[in-house]
Amino acid sequence: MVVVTGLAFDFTNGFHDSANAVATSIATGALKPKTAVGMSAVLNLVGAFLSLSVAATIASGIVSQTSVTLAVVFAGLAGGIAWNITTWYVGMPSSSSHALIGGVVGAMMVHAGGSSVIWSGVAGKVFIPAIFAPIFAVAVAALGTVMAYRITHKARDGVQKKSFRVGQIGSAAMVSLAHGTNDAQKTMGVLTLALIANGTIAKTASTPDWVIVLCAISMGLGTYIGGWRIIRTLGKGLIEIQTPQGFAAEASSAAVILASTHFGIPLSTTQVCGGSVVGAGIGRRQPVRWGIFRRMVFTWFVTLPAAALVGAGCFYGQNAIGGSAGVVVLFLVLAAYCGTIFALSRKSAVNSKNVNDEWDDEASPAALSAAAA
Amino acid sequence: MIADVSSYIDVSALIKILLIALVAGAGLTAVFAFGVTGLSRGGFLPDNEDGSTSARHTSSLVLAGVCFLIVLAGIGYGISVALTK
Repeated sequence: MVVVTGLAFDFTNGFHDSANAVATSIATGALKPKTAVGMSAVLNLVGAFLSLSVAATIASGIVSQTSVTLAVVFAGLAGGIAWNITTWYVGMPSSSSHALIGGVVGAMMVHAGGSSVIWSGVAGKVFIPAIFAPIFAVAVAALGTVMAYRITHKARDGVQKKSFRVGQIGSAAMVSLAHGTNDAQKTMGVLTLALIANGTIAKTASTPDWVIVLCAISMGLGTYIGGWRIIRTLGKGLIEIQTPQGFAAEASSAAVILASTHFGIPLSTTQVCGGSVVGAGIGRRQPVRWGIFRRMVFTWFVTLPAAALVGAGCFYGQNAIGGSAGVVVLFLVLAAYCGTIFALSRKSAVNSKNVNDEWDDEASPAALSAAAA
Repeated sequence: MIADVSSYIDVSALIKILLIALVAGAGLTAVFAFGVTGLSRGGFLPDNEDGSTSARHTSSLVLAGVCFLIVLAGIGYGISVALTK
């Protein structure tokens, strides 16, 4: 059941993170929506196999491995899923990594107290990168955009547009690959943690192959089925994006993510991609819809504590009922919640057909969130 | 508490990440842009939107090719470095 829930989390991760990777390519028309999503899924899988240093960080650096139990991991995943699906509903690209880590940390605190959480790990591996990653992304993307336009301003329009369009296929591929090497591994890390807690694998064991494959597949499916809301916010909501900007934004995202992967620092693909898109807007001195960006940043800040609260609540409830009955009840509650959100989302459905429609502040899911808040 | 904050933050790694990202992200974008300019000058896709046609300049096209090769090489090198730890 924990494995199923873990996969469900990856499914919602696909809603958010893998969607980011291809959002700008879809918005500029460089790739057909479905092609883009399919490509992203495959490359995420490849990326996940290439590097596992981030999964190792998550599995070992956030909570004390000795006091982790299956129930903690389960409640943590439940918290992460609940938060992920809520932000997805309002079309806000929030960090699924923070949702996941928040959920696990919250559940852990209820289970074994604050001392079982490795706070220096949470600060160094989650908070600090969360602050720097988007800033780096804005800077790199802005610089890249300025140069892309300066250098090509004498080039003929047709050539410029076409070349960057082709280039964007490559850059989108890079972001997907980078996502696979960094973000995609967080769930794998947590599932590894669960398997260790269950005694299925040894404490020193690395992530089994079947976990990697299943995680990547469910993430790809998630993007394919539900990523459109987030794609729309990122690709159309922040700025009206052109191909050179899309290229610069994606190059920036890929570079920032890969560089951090190299140092084993997990960061949020979501925040990097959001930052890059804003940077691309600044680089062309064009109006950015700051209201939406503000809402995004706000979501980034509350994700970790909010998911921690939900995770803690889940664990508390599960414990109060006790034993496997508690797990089953939590599972059902979670399923019911997701079902409700899905049903609600049908009213403002975003799919591969209307993902690129003109941005309309009133009608967008992201605008709804402001009305609700 | 404040004294050990620096132990949480790997400052040198952060600076390296920023530098690498600038070179790889913005730098390669610039090289790509030079390649695009080269294509344009070289008469790639000669039919213009206004109906005119552009003449072919092989040297510009070669230059463009070199730029794109640099970008590809940079990406390949980047992936291989990023993933070996």
